[in-house]
Amino acid sequence: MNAASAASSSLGANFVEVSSVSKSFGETRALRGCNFSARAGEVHAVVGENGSGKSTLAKLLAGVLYPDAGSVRVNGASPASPHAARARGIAVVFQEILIAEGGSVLDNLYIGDDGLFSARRSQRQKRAEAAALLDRLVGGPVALDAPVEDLSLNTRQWVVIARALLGKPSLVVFDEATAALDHSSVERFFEVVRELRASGVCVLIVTHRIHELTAICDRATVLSDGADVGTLAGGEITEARLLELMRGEAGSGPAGGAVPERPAGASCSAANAALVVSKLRLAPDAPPIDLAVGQGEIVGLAGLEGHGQVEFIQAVSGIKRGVGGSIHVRREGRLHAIDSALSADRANLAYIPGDRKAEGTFPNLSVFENFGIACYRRSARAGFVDRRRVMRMFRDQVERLSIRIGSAAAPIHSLSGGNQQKIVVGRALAASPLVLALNDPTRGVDIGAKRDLYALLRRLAENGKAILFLSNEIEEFVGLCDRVAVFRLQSAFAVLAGEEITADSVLAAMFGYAGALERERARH
Amino acid sequence: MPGTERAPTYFLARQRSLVTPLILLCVLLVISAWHGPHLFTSDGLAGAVIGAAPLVLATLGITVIAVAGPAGVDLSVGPVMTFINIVIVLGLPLVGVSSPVLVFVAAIIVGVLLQVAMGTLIACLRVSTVVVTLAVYLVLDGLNTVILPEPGGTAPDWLASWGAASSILSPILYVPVAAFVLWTLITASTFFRNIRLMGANDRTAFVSGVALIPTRIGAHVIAGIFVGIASVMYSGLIGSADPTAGASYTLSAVTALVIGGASLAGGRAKGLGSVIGAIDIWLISYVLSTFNFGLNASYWVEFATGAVLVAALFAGGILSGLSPRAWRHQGGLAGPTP
Repeated sequence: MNAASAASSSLGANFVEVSSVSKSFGETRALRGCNFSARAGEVHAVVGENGSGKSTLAKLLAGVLYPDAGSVRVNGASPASPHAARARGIAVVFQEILIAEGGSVLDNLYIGDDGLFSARRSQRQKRAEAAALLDRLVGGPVALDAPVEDLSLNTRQWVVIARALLGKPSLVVFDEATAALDHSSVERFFEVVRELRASGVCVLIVTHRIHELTAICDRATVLSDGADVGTLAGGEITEARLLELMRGEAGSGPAGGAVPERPAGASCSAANAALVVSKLRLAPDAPPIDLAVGQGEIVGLAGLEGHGQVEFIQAVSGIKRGVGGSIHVRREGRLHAIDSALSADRANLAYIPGDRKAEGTFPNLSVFENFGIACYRRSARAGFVDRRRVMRMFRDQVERLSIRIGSAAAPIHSLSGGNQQKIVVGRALAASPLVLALNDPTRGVDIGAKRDLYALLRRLAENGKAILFLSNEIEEFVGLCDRVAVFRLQSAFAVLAGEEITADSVLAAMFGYAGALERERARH
Repeated sequence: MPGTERAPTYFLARQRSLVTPLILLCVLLVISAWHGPHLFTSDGLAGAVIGAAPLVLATLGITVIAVAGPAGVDLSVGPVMTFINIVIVLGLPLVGVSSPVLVFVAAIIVGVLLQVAMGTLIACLRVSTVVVTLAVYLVLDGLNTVILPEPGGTAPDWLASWGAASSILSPILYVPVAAFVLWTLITASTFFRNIRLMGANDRTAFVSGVALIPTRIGAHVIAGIFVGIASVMYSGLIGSADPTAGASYTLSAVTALVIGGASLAGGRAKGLGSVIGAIDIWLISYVLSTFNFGLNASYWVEFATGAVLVAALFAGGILSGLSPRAWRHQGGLAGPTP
């Protein structure tokens, strides 16, 4: 499969050489035997679905991470630390916009540039260089003494890009660098990339935007599930070929076995709609979203990272607010508006976070405390905690969800990821909600636990719950969901239903490629 | 070229944290002028400088730790000053050191060594600053009393005469001024900028190639220098060695730091703010001493300091426009974590 990259390596020496690299984070394997190479003076794209290992690769090149196995070589040496990588001319623009708030623009541009006791450039030189570069990148003057937190997202992104360019790098990695750039900025970004290429710099672009690839990339390597599945060069880089490579693995991937059986075929009508979202805007300039979820229905939420699906589920759960529009839960014929987490709770909507460390659990507390935290108030007697009653609810859920726990008093992190997730789900179910909103609940969960969760969701749907299910693994939607809303550019790009839901059609819609969808529709 | 000129608006915006301590300073000075005008004589000013200098310098020392963040509150400063005070008064004469230069050098070396020990623990083991400095507080506070159960000894003659100065134009003024000049030079260095950016966001600093461990230990070296100078001034003030009196400097210095507008989250603290904050703290006790509280005076000083601290934080919050919305914006909400 690597014929293209093997052939190209004979054309010139490889500047970047990543060979059979593996990297795991706990149970999650981000990269498994990944190979990758790039030459100086080329623009090389790295493409893949969410979680295919692209960002991990960028971090390995930056020296932020170190591979578990295999080797990463840039110009013959491996980047051992961010400091060493920088000294070797490696500049990485990370996906998150990393700025030091409280510092000025100038400070942020030259962070890490100075040695411990000496500056490599004089302050005046820095100001002149920075002003000239930012002027060109942003398309207008930027106040160098302004605190960075005063800047717009677009300009912050440019500051981070400028930081990479000021070091006169020989390798630049842009990890989703255009995600926060506005339309006119993207054109200037392309110009910058072309100039870098012309001056012999090796440019790697990690991206979700196919348009960028076809516009400026010389070669593109596709990652899938932590391994490289092929490299395309020049005219070969087309949407169709890229999607083909990406989905090549999707059908036979390890998650394939975990796909649940086909649903009973519930549908949503005005009569049984439990959750009604109307004219919700996630950003001031984004198209409004209308979506209704019926009782007994599972609606999947898909999209590439940063395209609004997470914001949508958080808006529905009252955690974040949309720009306009309304969200209602209909229960027993009455409408309950949701505009805060409290109102979501009152409306009988339960939010189940996927990121257990950040939102789902209290890592220092016991299993029982983690379960009971949402139940104490509801089960309290005259304001006093009724521990026995909460314990009964706890035992009940442990049994129903078949959670394997050692002792209820053990700290939550003593459980496996899957069982932690079950505690979080059980906590939500103890309130007997009508609508469940699950934000990527299968992240970092093993296949067995995933299968349990699918079966549970199906059972809950059959009992008349309305379920929103956000996931980063496309295969999960197939068979589990009655409908899938695919998000793109902060809005619902397409809603697929029934037989239309295939890994191919979801993936195509995620990339804004409606062709596959049309064909699918025409066939039925 | 656009953007190369320093914009005065941002310069002013950066000084906003000085507003609260300055207002407090003015209020206290007005009360002093009305109720204790002795302060504004040459003798009174000399007394003020002698009294305030140890606190001012100690606060500058812990300001660096606050800048290096996160949650960089150095609790050890009081017992460390006491320890160095004992070293100066009782230890150095044993080895025949009494000249001013050597006393300063010795005090600074001890201060730096203690701070480097703490900084190494904090940077390498990633223990929180509060825990490490609290441990050192307890260890040294105990050790000081073991070494010297009763106050005693006398400071070198030159140092004792500094403490008895009755004119403002004496070394007691020159040393703090020189220390502040040193502070200004240090904060203008590239190294201090790295400390500041590390305090603002250590992750960004790390991936941008700032070496975190040497930078953090370096912050403690700077702190040690100022704590060392503060200890010499403190020895001059009390003229002898005292095993317990210095411990209260911890709370005073932290209070002065907060009133001076430092952000305990890291990255944001101004030396000038800390200096004014420390002067404010000293003035509060001066103003109260002009009222007749008899034996209860020290309790009233504590009470007033605490009340002023709360009032200053409240006023600071209003001045910086920290509305509930801004608060929510800053981080209460869970966003998608990549």
